[in-house]
Amino acid sequence: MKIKVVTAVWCHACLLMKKRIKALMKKNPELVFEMIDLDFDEDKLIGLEVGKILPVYFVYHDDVLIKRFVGEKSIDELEREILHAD
Amino acid sequence: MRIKHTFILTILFLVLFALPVKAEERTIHLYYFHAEGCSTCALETTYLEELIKADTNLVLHSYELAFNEENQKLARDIGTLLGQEIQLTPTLIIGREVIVGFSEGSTESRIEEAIDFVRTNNVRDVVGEMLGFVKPNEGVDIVNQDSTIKIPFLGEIDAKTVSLPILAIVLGTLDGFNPCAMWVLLLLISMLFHLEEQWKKWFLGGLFLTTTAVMYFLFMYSWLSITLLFGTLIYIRWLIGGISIGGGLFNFNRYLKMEPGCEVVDESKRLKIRDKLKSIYNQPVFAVAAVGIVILAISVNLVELICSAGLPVLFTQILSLNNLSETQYILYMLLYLLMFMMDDVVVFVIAMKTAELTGISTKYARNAHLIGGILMFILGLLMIFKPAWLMLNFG
Repeated sequence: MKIKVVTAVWCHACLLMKKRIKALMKKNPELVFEMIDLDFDEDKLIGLEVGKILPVYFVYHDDVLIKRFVGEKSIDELEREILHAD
Repeated sequence: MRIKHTFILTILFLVLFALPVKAEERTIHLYYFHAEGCSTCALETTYLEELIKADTNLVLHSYELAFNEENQKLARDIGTLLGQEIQLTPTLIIGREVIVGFSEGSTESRIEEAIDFVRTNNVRDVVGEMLGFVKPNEGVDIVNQDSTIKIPFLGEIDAKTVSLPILAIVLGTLDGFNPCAMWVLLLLISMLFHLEEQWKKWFLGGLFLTTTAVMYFLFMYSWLSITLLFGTLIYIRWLIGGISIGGGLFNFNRYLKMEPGCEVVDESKRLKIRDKLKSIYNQPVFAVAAVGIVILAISVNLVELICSAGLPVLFTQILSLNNLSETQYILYMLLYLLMFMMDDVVVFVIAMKTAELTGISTKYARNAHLIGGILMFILGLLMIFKPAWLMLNFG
């Protein structure tokens, strides 16, 4: 499973989530996260519907987008959102 | 018919009998110290003259202090008697209560409450005894200490335990959680990480924070000056009370609707600031970069000031109600500012020490909206209906 996460350096919730994502990656090595910066990775944002709230998560299964969700989450919530994305 | 008349007469008799007989009211002496040429005194004099006309049991004793040496000595003696020096005009003494300064609406209600207290509790008139206006040892020697405020859900709170320093700390902290200008600081810090020399990182970041603090202080000081000039006007107080109530409702709405995450700042504004920061970062001459940081901080804070204007405006208005000295005003504003800047400074120092940006959970910002909203709403109501309760300087 691949997850693209759109964040920003000025977003407190994004900074918190980066640490939680690292912890989740340790727990679930099969999950692949790609961090995209809203202000500095403009080319990677093409085709992504970012919206009004950060961070935004795009969950892909076999390169097909299966879920989009937003906001600050606990590690458990994040894991649940991703693993039950289907 | 006769029965009907008898019934009506009986009712009338009972009603008349049941009506409380107005007790003979004692004379209450007001001791008023004023100065010629003092515009605030002129306002209070007009008010007191009307009050005396309306209530024949009040007697006003006026003492001019600017030119009359005898009255100056008297003021010193009375100050010694009450344990509170009379240094400013206008000063009004009712019972044992000393009311310094005059603000239309707020001081008026305080004076009326003091008169009611003296009347209801038959308070001893120690000044009158000293001056020979009343017989010695008549009445009860008590000071008005009823300062409890009933707040919904929180119960009774003693206003005397809520002092100006506490208010400065609470409002400043809540204001600090307002993330309006914080995002620019975070963006700046993320760029500072790329600088090699440590001192340049500290200097540029510190410069941004210092400029922000100076801007905020100047804003508060200017607003305080405006309220001190025009704050006695009841409409100004109502306006600020209204802004505070509106701000409270706005904050409460933000609390209800705030999603656990960051709202994306308007794209064009965000990219403009990012490009400015990039150009500052790429600037080969360090002094020019420093000037760029100052200009950026000023422009960002000018725009973002409106975002949290409610709280500092409310705080300075409360300060102005308390008739403090210039130094006290400045110290209270600095305390507010210290709390306001605290989270920015903490984030900056941690980032510089650990070379990593630390985030603060949005739940804190959300709770700050709730607490700030409730506080602003209550303080706004008090500003309009009970301004005397906002005089928290109990000395």
